[in-house]
Amino acid sequence: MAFINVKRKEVQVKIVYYGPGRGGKTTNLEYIYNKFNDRIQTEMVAIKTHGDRTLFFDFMPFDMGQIKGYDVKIQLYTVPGQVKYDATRRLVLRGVDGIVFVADSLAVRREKNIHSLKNLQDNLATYSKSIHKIPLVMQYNKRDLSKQGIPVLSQDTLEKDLNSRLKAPSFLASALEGKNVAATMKKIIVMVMVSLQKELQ
Amino acid sequence: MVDSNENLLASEVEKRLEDLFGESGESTDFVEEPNDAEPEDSPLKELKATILSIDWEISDEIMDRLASQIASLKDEFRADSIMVPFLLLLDSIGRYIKVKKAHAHPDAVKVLNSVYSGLEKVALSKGLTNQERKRVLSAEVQRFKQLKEKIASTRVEQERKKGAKRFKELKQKIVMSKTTSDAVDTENAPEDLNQLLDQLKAFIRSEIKALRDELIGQRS
Repeated sequence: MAFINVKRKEVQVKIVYYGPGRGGKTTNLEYIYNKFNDRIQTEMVAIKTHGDRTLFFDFMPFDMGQIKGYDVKIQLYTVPGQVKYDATRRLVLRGVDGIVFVADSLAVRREKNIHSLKNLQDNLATYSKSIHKIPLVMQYNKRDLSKQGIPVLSQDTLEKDLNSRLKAPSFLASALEGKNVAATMKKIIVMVMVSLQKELQ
Repeated sequence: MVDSNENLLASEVEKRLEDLFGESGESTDFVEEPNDAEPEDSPLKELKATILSIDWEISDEIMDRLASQIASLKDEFRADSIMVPFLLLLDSIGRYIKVKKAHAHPDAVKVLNSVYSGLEKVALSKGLTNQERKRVLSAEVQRFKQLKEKIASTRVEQERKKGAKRFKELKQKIVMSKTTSDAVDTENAPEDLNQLLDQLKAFIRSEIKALRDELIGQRS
């Protein structure tokens, strides 16, 4: 659960962008950082390998200001998508309040999405959290590629593969172009805040 | 009551988020294809999917697929004096990536993508003059040459580091043998010295080879 300091009237919320490698998790955070940094005044920390892949995680904190008398601080994280970094992914999930699952719309990545979602479910279970209960938003990324003649999965297929049982809110997106990146983030933050309020009641 | 509290909180959070992350006039609609999209009919569509796959994952299966697609395109475009060199460049980078896999130079995949983009431009852009096509090719050849130089200089640097490490180890051994010379078994001493001499020779050979490679690289 989020870190809540009643004395200082402060709430810290942790949101993790999860999904297969090269799916666009870091690109989501980079877009937010580049587009809104003049408004949120933050720093983005990214630890990458020599091949430009996320090695440990990306981290971007920002302050939302006062909500219901509490100072709300949001922390956005990404996990490394590559299969070999499972221990890191588990570590980043510790204390998570909400998940954005960034699926890759490319047809050739269909299986990787499904494996990654299963991996998320397993890793959440190690913290006794259920993928069915945690606030979750699905983002079907890389929609821009269909314009270039590259085979992408339809929204129906992605929904069937990933969201038929979870029934999470979902967005078609292009992190590269910034389409629905902010909408995805806004949705998960609202969901997490409502869920926190429920837990506290 | 609970619902109305939830709604109040949600709308307060939404309003704050709109202040921070509101985007004006940006369309977020996507024109959705009725089914899983069929790419436009292009002779390069399979090659493009494979090149993109390499960006995510380098496996023998993907690299073999790349080689076979390049081979079939070479055949298809054999009469095109611009397309064939493009395919040769892709083939060469592909073979290098296949051998080195994750240890390939970090620029290799970037250059592969760039060469592909050039090839796509030349193959699919209508109305490009032969001169313009040549210019695109020449820019990619230049990128390829720069990549080769970077790979060569990385190799020389690695050889130099290896040599320096061996030299340090050797030096330590000589110091050790000097300080413990009294304790050295005199019967085995010549053998130890021979071993040291062999290592010294190997080190000098590797240094000369690295220098020679460097000189050859500079000349070409």
